Amino acid sequence: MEIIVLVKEVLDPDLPPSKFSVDTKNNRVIPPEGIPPVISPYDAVAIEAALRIKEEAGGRITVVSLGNPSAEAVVRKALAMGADAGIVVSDPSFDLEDSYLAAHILTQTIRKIGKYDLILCGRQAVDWDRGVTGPIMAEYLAVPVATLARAIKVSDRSVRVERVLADGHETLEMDLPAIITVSNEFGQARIPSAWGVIKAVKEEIPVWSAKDIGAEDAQNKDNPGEGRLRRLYIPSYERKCEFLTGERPEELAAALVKKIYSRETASP
Amino acid sequence: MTEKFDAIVVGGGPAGCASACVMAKSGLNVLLFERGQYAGAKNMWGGAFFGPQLKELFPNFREEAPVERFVTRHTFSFLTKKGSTTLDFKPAFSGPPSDNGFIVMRAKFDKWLAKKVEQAGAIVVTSMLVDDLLLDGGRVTGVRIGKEEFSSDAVILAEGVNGILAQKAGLCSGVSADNMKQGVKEVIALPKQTIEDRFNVNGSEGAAMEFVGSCTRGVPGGGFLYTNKESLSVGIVVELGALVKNRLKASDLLEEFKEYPDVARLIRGGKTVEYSAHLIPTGGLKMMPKLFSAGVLVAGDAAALVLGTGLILEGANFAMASGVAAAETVITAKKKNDFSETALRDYERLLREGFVLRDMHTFKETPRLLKNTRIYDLYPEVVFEVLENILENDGKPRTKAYKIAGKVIKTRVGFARLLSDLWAMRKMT
Amino acid sequence: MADLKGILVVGELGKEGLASITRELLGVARELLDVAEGEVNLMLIGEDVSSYAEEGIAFGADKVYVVNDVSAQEFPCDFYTHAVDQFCRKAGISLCLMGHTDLGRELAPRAAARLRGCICMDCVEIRSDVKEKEFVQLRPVFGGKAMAETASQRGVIQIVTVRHKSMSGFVHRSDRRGDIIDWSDQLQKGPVRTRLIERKTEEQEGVNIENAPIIVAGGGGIGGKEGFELIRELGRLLKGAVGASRVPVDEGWVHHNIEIGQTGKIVSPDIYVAVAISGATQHITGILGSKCIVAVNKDPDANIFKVSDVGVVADYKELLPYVIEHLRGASK
Ligand SMILES: Cc1cc2nc3c(=O)[nH]c(=O)nc-3n(C[C@H](O)[C@H](O)[C@H](O)COP(=O)(O)OP(=O)(O)OC[C@H]3O[C@@H](n4cnc5c(N)ncnc54)[C@H](O)[C@@H]3O)c2cc1C
Ligand SMILES: Cc1cc2nc3c(=O)[nH]c(=O)nc-3n(C[C@H](O)[C@H](O)[C@H](O)COP(=O)(O)OP(=O)(O)OC[C@H]3O[C@@H](n4cnc5c(N)ncnc54)[C@H](O)[C@@H]3O)c2cc1C
Ligand SMILES: Nc1ncnc2c1ncn2[C@@H]1O[C@H](COP(=O)(O)O)[C@@H](O)[C@H]1O
Repeated sequence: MEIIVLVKEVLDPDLPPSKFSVDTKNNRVIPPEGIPPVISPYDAVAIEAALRIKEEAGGRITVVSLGNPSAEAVVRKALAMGADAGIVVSDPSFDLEDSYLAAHILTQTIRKIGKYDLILCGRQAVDWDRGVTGPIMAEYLAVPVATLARAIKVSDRSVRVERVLADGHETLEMDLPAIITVSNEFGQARIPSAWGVIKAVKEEIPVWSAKDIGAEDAQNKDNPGEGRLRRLYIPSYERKCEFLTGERPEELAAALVKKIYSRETASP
Repeated sequence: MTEKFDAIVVGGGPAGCASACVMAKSGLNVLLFERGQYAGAKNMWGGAFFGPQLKELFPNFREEAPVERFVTRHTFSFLTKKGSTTLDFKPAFSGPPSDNGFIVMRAKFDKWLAKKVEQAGAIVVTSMLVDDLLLDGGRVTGVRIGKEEFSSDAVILAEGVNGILAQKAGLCSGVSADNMKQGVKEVIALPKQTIEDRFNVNGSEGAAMEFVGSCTRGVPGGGFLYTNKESLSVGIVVELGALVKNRLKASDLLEEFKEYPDVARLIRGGKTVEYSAHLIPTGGLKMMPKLFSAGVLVAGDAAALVLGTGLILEGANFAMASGVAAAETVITAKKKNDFSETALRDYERLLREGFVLRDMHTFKETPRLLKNTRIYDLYPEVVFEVLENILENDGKPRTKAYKIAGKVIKTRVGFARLLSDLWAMRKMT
Repeated sequence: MADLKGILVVGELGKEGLASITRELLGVARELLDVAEGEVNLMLIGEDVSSYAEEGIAFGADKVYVVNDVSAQEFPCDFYTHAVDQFCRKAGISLCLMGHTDLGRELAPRAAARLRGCICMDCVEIRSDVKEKEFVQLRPVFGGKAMAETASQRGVIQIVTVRHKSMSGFVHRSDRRGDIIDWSDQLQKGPVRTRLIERKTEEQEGVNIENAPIIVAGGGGIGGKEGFELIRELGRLLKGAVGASRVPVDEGWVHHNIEIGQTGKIVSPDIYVAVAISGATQHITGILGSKCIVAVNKDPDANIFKVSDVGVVADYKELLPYVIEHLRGASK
């Protein structure tokens, strides 16, 4: 089983809002100093999924990250978890904000890698929260896709996916090769072992450029992407909070119940 | 896997990074473990680095290291409830600021150091808490993380204050609160220009300010304020034992400290973006553990190699210097392939020849003397009262300064006590 | 493709007729016609969907295209992708709207890839900018820490998924007129690749969270399964639904289908009671539509209070038993 996992380097989503800032003039997020980017959490779950598939069905896991050269760190993290090989795709000419372009470049990368049975993505990259790369690539590569997987079972030439639904789940079946995007319900990503990290540090991670994958014209392709970003800003959701007062919990509870009933249209 | 390392370093602070760097540069196969998500993630300090250690290790640090500002102005203030007295030390430099004081933020600085360690050829593994040592008949042969084992010829413990592994190696037996200071710090964001205007500094210049007096409510210690690029580090460092005894909280003292006009004025309008607390081993030579035994050496805060002269706190430079000495010891030991306790004795010799142990000896009485609470409550008031009497014109005929001083001292301190304190302090600074 | 016209709403069915998101979208679509020009088209796919067409017209569709085909159920997303792709090409649609639902999340990027359209996922607002002749979408990004406003590109089809309940209500007019067109035979089927084996609904505990007027939700501070019993009891007494933040779900104290937030359910009850929830942006983004947010937290500085209308600083373990006692007394 040849498995490719796509991982993206993102701003740490657990960053407190106080450290999150936006350059509203250029519509850009300002990366906070001293806080390193992380692997997008769902992508870590995708690696976990790949590892479990490999443990069951055997095979090889190749991790690909498109981004700045610094994306090497998230690839190493995947290697430390147990992936077999990693590739960084990076070129100064790439516009990394555009998801179509990313899908196009990643598709070219997959073509260059050649053989694959399964491509795993995260359900969405937690920076722009789009969740489109996997399905777009499925169209480009003309392979089946299943999104929001919480369980994956491969057999010889096909794969069964349990997909999370708003009110339950569905089971889908596809022939291989296929693309699957993995959701957090799949389970927690394992923490790399120390030896895993040591092994990963020593691994050679090639950096492929636009030329290497035949994506030099990526910028000029008619890729409308997300459209023009007109404005990026930090919203204020602040409401005026009325703090209930009272010395003892009984008093607070009474005040709270009164408040709830006064807000409720139909009282008991 | 069964790969064996020449040396394993525990801790990615200044001590650990310096030692790993030196060993890796000399060709040793070195592994460094840091428990933080990245080196520096869990570390804090006031922020000023003294001494040329860094320059020795990284001659280009000025261009490369994430230095916030170079200290060009150093002030010492005595705070009282009524007002303050400040000494403002500002050499008229010609040329670039000296290498002798630069302000860094640990999160960025340690990360940079760790990068240097990697560039030197060592393997740095973060998010890994070393929980035990591998022992073979009293000899340390490696470390353990969970179920994973890592063997090496030598282990350098640069784990910082509390030295849990150093205890496990039998080099020391716990630490007492009386030998510890608690540091708490806030980082307060302010625009660059505001900082430069308020502190009277330009470009890469910066100010380091130390405070003693009523701000610690009689607990031995003091406050500090350092200028970063676009923020201020404001904190206090107080003796843990006395803190506990007086039922005070360091965080409350910091809040009070921030309200002193001398401080409030400087941090006005800023937004607190970070809060942290850390212990500092300031017991001096008396709390120093055994520095080495077969297969293992201790460096930096883990070895209590911190100098608190009262005016300033020096730990980082001591940590680096001791890390380097430990590294050199291991390099020599590797050549002879002898890691016995006797072979590692070199470490102590190197520390003695360098400034680390020499300074520690010079100031060996300091920790005890600094416990004299008069330094924190009485003397700042005395200084203030004397100056108040001299400078404030209340319309009455003037008295000569020394007479005023004499009167104040006599009523507030007593000459005998002052003399004995002064005599003692002679050894302190 | 310069003169694209009209809007396509990809319809979905709910328990009783059109799904509420589809109704919302039809209402939204009508307001966008100034830039979209043309008409509001609704596409309904499935077994015997013609019966819902009238309802579509009442909610705002000018034309309803019905595709009655059982195989749509077997290969749902593949089928929709072909249908949307073909229809949009044929009709020269300028804006294609769908819900950010189980279907929309997957369909939108696939259809967009085929149509080379502009794509915008999980919008909470879409409006037309008449001067620029473009559609403007607003969507939360970075886990709700920021909002991005994007504009469509002229001459390119815009494909948008819209977050449930984020837009103003819909208008139902039974006297509206429109055409119903059976498109079943016109659709040329494409390759199918993903087969549906089975679909299972997992019952949510208690009252359904998405339409509940009152929700009581517990967070990481609840500390365990036992603590949630208090939350459930409170929910019962208030006749509300029980919800949770991510932490209780990850810890396995509750089922994931009651998670609220960016990756869980988006809710907008009249009263949302957040107990021992810190107020991370990923959670907040899912409750912003709530009319009144009540927070109970022992940390006075907890972020949740910033977005709350009513706050109680207390340990829930001490507070809730009294609240429950009061409510029991009141309901007697
Ligand atoms: C408030 C305050 C102000 C200070 N001001 C100054 C100053 O102005 N100038 C100055 O020179 N010094 C100052 N110091 C002292 C200085 O910070 C320390 O002396 C210095 O950091 C010691 O370096 P170290 O490498 O020995 O230890 P640390 O910097 O503490 O580094 C130890 C590292 O080991 C890691 N670690 C610990 N245990 C394990 C384990 N089991 N496994 C893996 N990793 C582990 C820790 O995460 C940490 O990164 C200050 C300290 C404080 C608290
Ligand atoms: C990609 C991504 C997507 C995410 N999606 C979601 C999502 O959809 N929904 C979601 O909820 N989260 C989501 N999260 C997680 C989110 O970032 C937070 O980690 C999570 O919401 C925290 O849950 P919490 O506030 O309940 O728990 P905690 O962070 O553990 O906070 C517990 C709170 O309870 C208070 N408390 C503790 N004990 C008591 C007591 N006895 N009485 C009263 N108060 C007490 C504490 O003061 C604290 O404020 C996501 C995270 C990521 C990275
Ligand atoms: N630059 C990238 N490099 C590698 N994988 C990516 C990249 N962008 C997106 N992906 C993959 O596609 C998934 C969905 O991303 P997105 O469509 O941007 O939300 C992610 O979870 C990754 O698995």
